[in-house]
Amino acid sequence: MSDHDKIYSTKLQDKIERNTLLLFVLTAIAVAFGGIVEIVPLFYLPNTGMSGGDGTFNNTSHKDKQGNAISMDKIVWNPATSAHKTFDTWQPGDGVRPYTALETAGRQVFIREGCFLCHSQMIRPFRDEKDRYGHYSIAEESMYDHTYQWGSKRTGPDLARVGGKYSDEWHRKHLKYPRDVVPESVMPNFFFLENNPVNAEKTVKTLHVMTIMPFNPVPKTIYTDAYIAGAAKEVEGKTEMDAVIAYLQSLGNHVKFEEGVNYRD
Amino acid sequence: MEATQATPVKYDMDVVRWFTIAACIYAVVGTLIGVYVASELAWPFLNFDIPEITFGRLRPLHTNAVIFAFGGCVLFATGYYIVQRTGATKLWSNGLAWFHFWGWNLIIVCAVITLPLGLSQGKEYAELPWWVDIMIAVVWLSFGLNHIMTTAIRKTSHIYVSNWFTMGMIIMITYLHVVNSMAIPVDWATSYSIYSGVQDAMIQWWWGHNAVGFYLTGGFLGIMYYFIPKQSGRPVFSYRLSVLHFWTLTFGYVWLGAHHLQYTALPDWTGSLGAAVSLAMIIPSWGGAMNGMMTLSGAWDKLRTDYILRFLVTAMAFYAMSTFDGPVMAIKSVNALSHYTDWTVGHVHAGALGWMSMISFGALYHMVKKLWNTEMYSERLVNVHFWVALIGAVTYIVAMWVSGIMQGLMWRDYDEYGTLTYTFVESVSAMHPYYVMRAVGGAIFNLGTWIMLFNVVMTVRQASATRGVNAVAAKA
Amino acid sequence: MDYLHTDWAAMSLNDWLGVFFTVAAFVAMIAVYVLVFNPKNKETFNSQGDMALRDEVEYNNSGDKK
Repeated sequence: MSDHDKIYSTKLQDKIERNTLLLFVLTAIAVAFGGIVEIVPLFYLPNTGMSGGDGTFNNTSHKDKQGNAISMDKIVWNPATSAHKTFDTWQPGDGVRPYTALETAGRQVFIREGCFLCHSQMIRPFRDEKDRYGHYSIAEESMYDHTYQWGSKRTGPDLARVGGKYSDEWHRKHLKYPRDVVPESVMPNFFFLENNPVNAEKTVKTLHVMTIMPFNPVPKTIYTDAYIAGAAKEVEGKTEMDAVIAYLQSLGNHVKFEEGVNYRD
Repeated sequence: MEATQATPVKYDMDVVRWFTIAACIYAVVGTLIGVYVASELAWPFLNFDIPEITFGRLRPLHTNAVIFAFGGCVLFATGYYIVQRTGATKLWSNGLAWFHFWGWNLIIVCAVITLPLGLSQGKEYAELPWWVDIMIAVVWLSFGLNHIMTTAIRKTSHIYVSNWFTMGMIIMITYLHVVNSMAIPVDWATSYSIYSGVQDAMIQWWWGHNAVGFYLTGGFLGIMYYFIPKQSGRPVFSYRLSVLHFWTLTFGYVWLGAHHLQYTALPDWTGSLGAAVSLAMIIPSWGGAMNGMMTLSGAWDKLRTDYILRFLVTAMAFYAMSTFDGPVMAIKSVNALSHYTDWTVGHVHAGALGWMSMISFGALYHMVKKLWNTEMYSERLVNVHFWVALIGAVTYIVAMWVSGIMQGLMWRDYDEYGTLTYTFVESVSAMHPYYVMRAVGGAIFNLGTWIMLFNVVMTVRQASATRGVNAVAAKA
Repeated sequence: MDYLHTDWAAMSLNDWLGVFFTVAAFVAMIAVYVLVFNPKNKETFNSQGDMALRDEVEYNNSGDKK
């Protein structure tokens, strides 16, 4: 027997150092805490943009100046209560909606080309970011983003509210040869997107996948069977360039923000 | 002390040798791609209008190559080396270790093919397609099982501290990889994460920061706790400090991911919690850094002649620096400035070039000498490599710190009329000199890895001529 | 002082859980520091510190497996 056993206070550590299984179990427990505490509540606390997939939300507490709760239907588009009931009639300001078929195809290209490595989609609540990019981003705005695209680096500007800021023609020119439009830009030329047709079959499958997500699926009332069936037609004859532009133009104009409302707490 | 004294142990070192050589090769490849993507930002014509080599597709290849190919091979080589030597036992399964070697290299080949083709899941450091994720899980578990079982069948009474850190890494990376990679495939090339928005962001950075915390830090601390004592011939300065180091990092590091998401749409408490624990981590991290450096107390003179020791000790200095830099960047008011800028890139590379690579180079040189039972082909080249690596790393880090802070200040600057002083693109063109400097620093660092590869290859060739003789001598 | 004001009545179950875990983690950290740095425990904690060096002495060989 060594003298480890004589000193009670170090006995546990000594036991751990001698026992592989004990070290394994205690380490496995110790590393589990942080993740559980930080992640699990985000699935049930309010204001995390977590919907039940049927239009219901974890109770919201976005409040206006008088302290009245803002109806969730004003933030996230709900065809049942909105004046505009279909994808075709949806207007900016009607609330957060999922992407159309063409936008979905464009988003896939956006991810494929690694755009998120240089362009964030998350505006922070600072004066300079408000002046430069617009209203700060809120949780609900990325609730349909399977694989969020907030990014971590701004080699180029933030894109969270780029939708509608520039014309389609500007985007086309800029995406093809960025330095023709912005001489100081370091962005690669994406002219080749114009030669690639959109993969219709893949886009249709993607829409379907979005409806079967375990968390924040797109409600079947929005991606109706009829809509998915007609999706192939919507992207017919479109290029990846058209798709990316459609995606960019859809970013950030869904919600009509009101003065004095706190959208984060 | 142990009865093993009488019978020399026969280790399974062939697989360690192969991982060692692979690590030397991937060090060259990974940093070379890094230099190229850095150059693309300095001189965009280098994208050459070829989709497969545009920045957006090559950058994930760079991160995957340095983290998983280079870093991985170093961790596996040292992991198998240390667990056998400190446990006085062979591997639990030599065959499984070979499965691990070939499996891991197959994954790397898959990454080299799929990433330039644009197969990406859109998550940083977890871009690889869903079927490669499954391969990673299987191969990683083969490593974990083998390492832990080898620990279990050791002949020594206690488990050495290096193996605690490796075990922590094995468990945590398994959790992270499985949870973060959950996705629904659309076809063989594309899949979408089952999480979205806020939840996905938190899970992604729980993964992202703990890949740093348990793989690039924990795993390499295991290397530090073995190779510094071995190379200096001194016991760990304070073993009780390493007990503290291990348990506090193991429990605490997990919480840090949220500090990547301050001021975002995540609930405020999450980022604040991440920041608070980040600050608390300074103490154990510095304890560990001091522990590594003070192991040399009484043997400081060795630094003058022992070039390998220089790598190891310099790594500890960079470890101390990055573990101070990190918590500072986690402070909310600093993060408001530093987030989205090159400061983050500088911080990552202070860790990757200064700490992780330096400790790896030291360990690789040490192992090459032991594994092939020889001296280095050229000690002078080891010294040259040291200086080249140091100059390259410092150039890179300084460039990114300056450009990062400058970017942050330019973005938030207002003129006397209350309007933004600079357009975004003015900040882009102001970065050009620093992006050039970064590319140059990276190129210098890359040159060092070529020197190491050459030196190691020559050493092995030289040793294989005399190896048979040595083997007989060792038996006698 | 306004900054430090807390509306205790408005604390939800989640808030209390958070407080509990934070305080518990803090206390546990202190306990570990005390335990490790207690001079009485120094010798036992440090007893395995030279483990890495022992293989040279005890079972020295070149690492070749044949």
